[in-house]
Amino acid sequence: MSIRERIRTFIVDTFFVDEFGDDDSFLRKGLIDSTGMMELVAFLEQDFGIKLEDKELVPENLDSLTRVVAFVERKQQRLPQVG
Amino acid sequence: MTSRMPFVRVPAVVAQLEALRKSVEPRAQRAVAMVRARWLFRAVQSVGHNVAAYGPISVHNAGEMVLGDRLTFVGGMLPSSLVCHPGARLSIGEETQFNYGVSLEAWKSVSVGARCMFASFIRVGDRDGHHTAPIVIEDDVWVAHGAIIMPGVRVGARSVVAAGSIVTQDVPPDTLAMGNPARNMSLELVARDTGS
Amino acid sequence: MMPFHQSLSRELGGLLSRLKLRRCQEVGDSPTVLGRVWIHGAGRVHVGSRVVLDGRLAPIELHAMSSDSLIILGDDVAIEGGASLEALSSITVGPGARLGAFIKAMDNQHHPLRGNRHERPPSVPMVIAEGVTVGSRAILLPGAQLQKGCTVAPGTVISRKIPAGVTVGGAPARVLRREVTG
Repeated sequence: MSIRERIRTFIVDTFFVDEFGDDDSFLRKGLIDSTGMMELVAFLEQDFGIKLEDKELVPENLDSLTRVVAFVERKQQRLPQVG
Repeated sequence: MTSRMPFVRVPAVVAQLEALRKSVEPRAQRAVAMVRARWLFRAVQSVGHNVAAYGPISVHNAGEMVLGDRLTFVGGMLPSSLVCHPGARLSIGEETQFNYGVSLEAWKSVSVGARCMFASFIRVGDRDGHHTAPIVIEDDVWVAHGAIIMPGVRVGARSVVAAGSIVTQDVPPDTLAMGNPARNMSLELVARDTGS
Repeated sequence: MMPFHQSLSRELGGLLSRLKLRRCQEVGDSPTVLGRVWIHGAGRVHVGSRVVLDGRLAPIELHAMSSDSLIILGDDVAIEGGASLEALSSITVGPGARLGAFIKAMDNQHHPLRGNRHERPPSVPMVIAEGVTVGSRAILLPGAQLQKGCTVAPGTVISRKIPAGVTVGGAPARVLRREVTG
């Protein structure tokens, strides 16, 4: 499963939102609230083995599916791949 | 059923009395709250004007306590408590509001800014089992229900500490701190600006 | 056959419970109220049958804030001391749900996170379904919907829908266990 699908599956399963586009803003569409965003961050760290710095928790990185995917890909490239 | 007295319309009188009660009651409660605050904070070196305590508060002041103008302490199921140990300083800026069950304890220094909002069951203490370090909470901070702020933490202006969080590191301004241990995220990520 | 003094004290206990619930608009059969229960606000509070409100530890607060607020406690609901339910629109607690000590349930945040703190954000009616268990000191924020039979671990903060039969806990919350179906 691609990164995009894994994240989309998590969002759909966790927040019960079915219809949302890849570029929809989580905040403006009311898809994810603040506690939900924290859960998304915890999911990204656990599932993709990356560490998000507090200063990276900004809309430019996390406010839509496209942005999250791009951000995760950037983080993974910077990290040495294990295994 | 109509009144037997010809010129008195009972429902109108009742409605007027009710309206009178509604207008007088809050002011009476506020007057009582201000007198109560005077009494509760009698051992405090510097208390601002129009400080109101709508419920019991336990105050122990052996250090230096400075309270600003127009503070509000709301009453509830548990009393709030303000404790200032010898040689310590506890200061609260003006117009800060406290819900019930808030516990502020200073061994060295706890400083709360102006126009902050403290919800219920909050613990702010500058000493834990290991060390003592001053706590600074800047202006316009909102601390939500059940949050705990640990020693040495500085919470920046206009930040929000989410419900049930345990804050162990500094929180920059305009940030939401959430979780255990709390992590900081930009408020722009989770909230739209609601205007001025 | 119960001795006379026992049945008398039981009757008196029932009357006292009803007296403590006198500000509720509807009360079902045989409520049990121990200690203090605060029911305030201009709204309505409906209580089902056989509820147990144990306010001996600290008062239980049922606060239906405005005149169109509604708090509904279903049959067999048990609430421990210090629990506080604050409804601006509505909080519904389903049959058999148990709410632990010092939990907080609110359907409105009362202040926006940014901007003018005096504006009030919209309320989200809260539903706690049948057979839910909420651990002590848990916080249910606007948007929380606990579906049938789910469990919230003590101290957890929830603001989203929790599916039926799931156990959630931790901060940030995550699913600890799912009910095995079939």
